[in-house]
Amino acid sequence: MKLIMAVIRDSDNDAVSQALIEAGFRVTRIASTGGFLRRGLSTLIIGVSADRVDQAIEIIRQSTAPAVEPGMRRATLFVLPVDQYTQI
Amino acid sequence: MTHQENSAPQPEPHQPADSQGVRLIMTAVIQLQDLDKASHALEEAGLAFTHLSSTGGFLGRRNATLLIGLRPGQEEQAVTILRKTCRRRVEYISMPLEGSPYQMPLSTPVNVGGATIFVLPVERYEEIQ
Repeated sequence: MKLIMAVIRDSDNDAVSQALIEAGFRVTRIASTGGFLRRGLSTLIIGVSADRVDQAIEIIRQSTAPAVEPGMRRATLFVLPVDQYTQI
Repeated sequence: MTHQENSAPQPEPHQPADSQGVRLIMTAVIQLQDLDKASHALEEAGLAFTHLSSTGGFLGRRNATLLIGLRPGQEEQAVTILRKTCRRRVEYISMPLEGSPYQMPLSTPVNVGGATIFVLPVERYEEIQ
């Protein structure tokens, strides 16, 4: 089990969440803010089994719109190991 | 988020965590009053971060949670910055006076922490350009 934290733009949030949910991933969205004066980011928290990490990342890659300015990132992804995963 | 590698973009999008990649993520819960100072200091130091609005469990006050991606060697720097910018404060909450027949609330001092920091390992880090 892995936890993916994906920082994406607000404007991509609907498309990304929808695409992930359609593929059977569970997504939690947190409104977040980038560094100084960089508003409008969302952080998605996605719990995935280890063998589906690549698929989730590929979906995020495909459902984010191209960056408006060159050099800007579409998404920043952290994959964290999970010691224990329980659903109640 | 700022990052310094813009000038030398990686040719392959699938970039495994190399020596320059983010290896740790720091989750720091800080007081809302300290957010401006802390974010300015982190920004100046070139540390990439994002922040979330959160609420403390005990006092129920609004606070901020910072997620800071750390490259090798940046951990100490981040802790030092938070230590300098996030102050420990005394807040007062009213509690009913125990054993008193009157409903007189008593002001009780509570120490509110400067920052609560968790550092977690990052197995894989990717930037989608």
